[in-house]
This record gives sequence, structure tokens and C-alpha cells, in this order.
Amino acid sequence: MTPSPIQMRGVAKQFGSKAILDNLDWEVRPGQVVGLLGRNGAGKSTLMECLLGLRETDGGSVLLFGEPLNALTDATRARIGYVPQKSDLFEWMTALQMLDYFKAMYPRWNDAKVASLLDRWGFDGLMRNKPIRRLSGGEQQRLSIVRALAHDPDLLVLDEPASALDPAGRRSFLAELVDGVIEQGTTVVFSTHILTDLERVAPDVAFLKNGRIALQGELDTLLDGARRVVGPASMLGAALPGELRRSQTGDGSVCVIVQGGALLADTPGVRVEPLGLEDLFIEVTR
Amino acid sequence: MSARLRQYRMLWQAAHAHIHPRAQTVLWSAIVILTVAMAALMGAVYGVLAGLGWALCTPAGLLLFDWTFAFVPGALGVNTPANAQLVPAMRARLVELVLLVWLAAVGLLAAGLQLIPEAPYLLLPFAMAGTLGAVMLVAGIGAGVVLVLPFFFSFLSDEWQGWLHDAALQPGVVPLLVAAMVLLAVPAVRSLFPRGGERHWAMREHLALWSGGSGGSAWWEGTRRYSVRRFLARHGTRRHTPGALLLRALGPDLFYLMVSTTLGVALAFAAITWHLRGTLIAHETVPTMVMIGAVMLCFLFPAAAVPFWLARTRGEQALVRLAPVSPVDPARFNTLLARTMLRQGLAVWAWCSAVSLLLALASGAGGIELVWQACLCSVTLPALALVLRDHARAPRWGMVFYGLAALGLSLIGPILAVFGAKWLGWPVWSIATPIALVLTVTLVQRRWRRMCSAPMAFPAGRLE
Repeated sequence: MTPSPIQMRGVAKQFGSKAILDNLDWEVRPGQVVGLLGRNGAGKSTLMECLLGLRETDGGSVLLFGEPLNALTDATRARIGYVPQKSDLFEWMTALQMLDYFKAMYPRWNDAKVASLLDRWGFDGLMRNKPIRRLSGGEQQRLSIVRALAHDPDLLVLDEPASALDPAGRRSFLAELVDGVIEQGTTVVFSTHILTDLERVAPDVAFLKNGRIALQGELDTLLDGARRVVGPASMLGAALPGELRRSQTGDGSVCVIVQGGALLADTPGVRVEPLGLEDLFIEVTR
Repeated sequence: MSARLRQYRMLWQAAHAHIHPRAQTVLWSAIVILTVAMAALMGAVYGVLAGLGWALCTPAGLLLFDWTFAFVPGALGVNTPANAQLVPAMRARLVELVLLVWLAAVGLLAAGLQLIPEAPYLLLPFAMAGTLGAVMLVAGIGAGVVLVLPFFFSFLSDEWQGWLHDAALQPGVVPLLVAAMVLLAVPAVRSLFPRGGERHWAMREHLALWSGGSGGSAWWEGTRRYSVRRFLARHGTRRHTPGALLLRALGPDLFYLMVSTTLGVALAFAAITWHLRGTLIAHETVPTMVMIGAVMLCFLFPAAAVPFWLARTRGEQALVRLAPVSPVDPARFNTLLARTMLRQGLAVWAWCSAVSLLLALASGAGGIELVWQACLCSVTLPALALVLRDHARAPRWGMVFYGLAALGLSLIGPILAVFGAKWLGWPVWSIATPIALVLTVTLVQRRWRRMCSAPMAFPAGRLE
């Protein structure tokens, strides 16, 4: 059986006294494309850094392709691509020097893909030979993505990869992600705040809240089953099936967010509204 | 070329490019020029064998210097947590290459020392310990101080030097020390290149503090290690003159940090010297001059630090430039900045000089010694001119290079004075001081004019 690309069990991480990850369990299956969502400071970047072994965890275990982080073989490492939130390129090198540098380090390197991506993403001869520090933020981000895709990774971890891209750059990146990566069966985990991007590429989403995956599932299923139920307290007193959150509105009514539970649409006095991804994000991560 | 050799070549180039794009050119040029010069000079004076010895020792020394202050710091920069953890074999190749270069330089030095008559026995193990300890300290590994301390004390104490000399004459001591250093080098170098983890991130922060990359915020975080941080926050933001506001782009307030560092280092040094008096340090060599040297280094450090931070706080500088208090006219802006930096530099220099003279007085220095010490203080004045330049076009250099430039400017006076003293028969300091003063005035005048006619200084390095 093919081992899962990512398997996290009971992972805990604290910064000072603040728990960022709290006994987190998470598994990503081969070929799965997961959008990781969470509020600012929820710990998405920390989660990604911990799952790649860039930070030690305070507890729990992480396996990548079945191998523990502290014993990753070179072959496994060559199967992983990572785009950090802040492009950590060598800014003193030119784009070509940087790509040559990494090419020397990887056993597999797709020159044709690199050339094609550079061409399509507007890296002309001048830009390729310019020191990276003189490239704009968006250009550096694109270069960082090219670097991560160049060795045809089986697992791609992207930490807000499109945050510095303009709409045209984002569209081009998403097209590449869908056509060149996802359709090849690559496992992808990416965090973003741009929910429209997520809806375009990620069949699965996971919400990070209070250091745990609060909700995970197929995006379509989650959206189909997500409802806001508003009604008098007397009718919504008991916990509803699939209840995620409950609050009191200004007029004394009760507002309940449910996911996949039985609907009360026909009940007089009770209003049931479907939730979009943005509403679901706000409600789940509140 | 095999894949492994190609990786070594890439890593060597990347590490040097991390320090400066032309670092390799400087290194190889220096090796060729100095090796030929030293071999010819020493061969002519001491014979062919000594010439050959110097032909090996000179490149070895330069290579070790490069290894300590350029190659390893650059390699540490290349070894980001993501690369160390995820790029196959990169960390292992870095460790191998760093060790191989060090061993090659040490081997070259050992071969050269064999050929030089009466070469100091302990130079080789000291060079090995010193370079290993220094890179560990650069990486923020405090244990490196254990390797550097014997080196430091050997300069300080005659008794210690004598003891070491006697020990080195015993058969097998030097080879044993060398073997121990080689064995120690492996875990030491491995500790420099962690594979991700919190220690790695902490090391990156430490490196960002000293080698750039992060801006004022990293420096501000770094001040946490000094207990003056709260003091700086309270007092550093009080002054609202336009000049003070411009300099705040470099950090909360450099002046207070420099002053407090100077005082701290001076007092610590004085306390150690006093404590070791009569034990490790002989009474007659109570190092008044060394004490002043240490304090003046405290001046050279800030003299080098200001241009260093100017080139690394662009984000903050852009905001300061947009603030209404900043002059819009480039000439007025640069003049204001130059005046403020020069005034601050002079204030720090005056403070360092006063502390060093007071310490000398307290350690029993007499009239003529105090005059000498005042002269020594004045030879560092040319380093003040470092802050005046066309900041918009200025390239970014590492802290070490600014430090070397400051030291070089400070040595011009004494070096010229040595020749002058032989010719005129006057005391060295009586010649070095006026030379340093004339040099300071000339440099400041020229560089002031250049800075004031240059494009807007902030953000520094944008036209590089």
C-alpha cells in the first residue's frame, strides 16, 4: 500500500506559553489537493513548517511518505516541493544561477518545464540574468514557484503562494497548478486567503482553528451541507445534528451553524440559509 | 566533472556570492598578489626556503581568513531551514566542503611552516582553534569562545606565552593538538549546519543581525540581549529633531546602544584585567594600551555599524523619507543626514575616548602615557568618514568588511608614522596624530561634498 504523503499524529507546538498546534491529527492521501484555511495567526505556516520538519514539534509524530521527519532519505526529499510564504530565494544570484544551483542538488530536474514556465511567466533574457533582489515581489514569487515545480515533486506544499501575484499571474499560476501539477496526480497542500482560488483548484478543504483541524472534507459536500439556521430559542434549544456553532442574535433569536445535519426548512418560524465558502470560513474559524 | 564536484563548485560560488558578488575575485586577486609579493620579499631577505614557506603560508592564511569571514558565513546563509531539510544532500555537501576547505588551508599552512626557520610552533593549532572558534561565534554558538580564549590570552600574558612555548617544545604536543583540532572540527562544523528546527531559526536570526538580510526590526530584536532595551525604547523616541528622526530608521537609537556597549565592554575588560593582575597577566604588562585598544574597537564597531545598517533598513528608510519632517530636496536631506551622522559619530568617539582615558588613569597611567593614549584615540578618527558616501548607489557589504575598512583607515596614521619616525627621529604617536587629523579633515571634506551632491540617500542602495 502506498504510504500517505502526510501523516500527522498528536502534533503539538507552542511558542512561549501560546499553543499554536494542539494535539493535531491530520492525514493527506496520495493525489489529494487540500486547501488549508484559517485566520491570521491560526498557525497555518507553523503547521506547514512542522509537517516539513522545518520546525521541531513539541509532541506527536509526522511521517512524510511513511518516513519520519528526522530520517527522511534523499530520495524522499527529492519528492517534496515547497513554496514558502516569503520567497526565500538567494537574492544575490540571478534567476538562472539560482535555478542552476538547485539543479545541481536534485537527481531529477525538468529543464523543459522550467524553460516553458519561465517563458510563459514572462521571464525574458534580461530578467533571467538580473539579480533576484532586483525582481519585483511577484516575479520573485513566480520564480519561487518555478523552483518548487522544477523537480516534479510528488508532494507540493504551498504557503500562500499567490499572495504577491497580480490577477493575471494568479490565473496563470492556478492554470499551471491544475494542468501541470494536480492532473499529474501530485499531492498538494496549500494555504490561501483568496477563497475564489481555493474554489477553483482544491477539491478538499481543511479549517485550522485553535491548533486543530476543526473541519475537513470535500469542498462541494461541505458547501452543500452547510446551513445557517435562525429561529426562536424555544425551537432551537436542543443541539442540532451536525451543529458547529451557536450564537444569540440581537433580537433574541438563536443562530446555529450546522454542517450536514438534518434540515429544519419546513419548520414554521425557522429560517434556513445556505452558506458560501466565505460564510463558512467566517463561521468555522470564529 | 562529477556530480559531487559540480555540487561543491556551486556551493563554493553560492557561499561567496552570499557575502558579495565579487568576493571570489577579491579573494583570488589577494591570494595571487600577496603570495607573489611575500614570497619574493621573504625569499630575498631570508633565503629561498623561507620564500617557499611564505609562498605556502600566505595563501593558507588568506584562505583561512576567507573561510572564517566569508565562506562559512556565506555557507550559513545558503543553508536556510527549507534548503537544509528539503534539498537532497545539500547540507551534507556543505559540511563536507567546509571541512575540506579548512583542512586544505590548514595543510598548506602546516607545509609552509615546516619550511620557515624558527616559525612559531603553536601557530598551527592556534590558527585551527581560532578559526573554528570564530566561525562558531559567528553562527551564535557560544561554545566557540572556549577555542578562541587561549588564542586571546596568549597575546595578553607573557607568563602564559612562556608556558605555552615550553609545552610546545615537548615532543608530540603540537601533533597531538593538531589531531585533536581535526577531530573537534567534525562535530563543530556539523553543529554549524543544522537541519531545520528551532535552533536553526534562532541561528538565522542571529546571522540576520550581523550579516544583514533583515532590517532594523532584527536589530531591535537583537537589542533584547542587552538589558538596555527598555531604556532605549523610552529614551530613543524622545528626540524629535529632523536629524534624530532620520537616524531612527536605522533602529530605535544607535547612540545609546553604542554608548552602553562601550561602557559595558570597558568595565568588563577593566574588571578582568584587574582580577588577573599578578596571575595570568604580569604586573608590569598591565595592558593599559590593550584596554584602550578594546575601547577604541568599541568605537570602530559603531563606525562600521552605521553604514552597515544604512544599507539594510530600506523599508524603514522609505517610510522616513515620506514623512513630512524629511526635507524634499535631496541636497538638504543628505546634508541633514550627513551632519547628524557625523555629529553622532563624534559624540560616540568622544565618549569612547573619555572612557579609555579614565580607565587608563584609574589603572595608574602617568602623564606621558595619557598623552599617548589620547593620540591612540585620535588615530581612529578617520573611520568617522565611512558614514559619508553616496548611500543611494553604495553597495551592500558585510559587517566584517566595514569593520576592516574602519580598522584600515585607523592604521594609516600609525603606519605612515613608523616610517616618519625613523626618518625624523620623533616619537611615532607625535607623527601619527597629525597625520590622522589631516586625513580625517581631508576625507570628511571630500566625502561630505560627494554625499551632499548625490541622489537622495534614503532608501540606501536603491541605485546600486
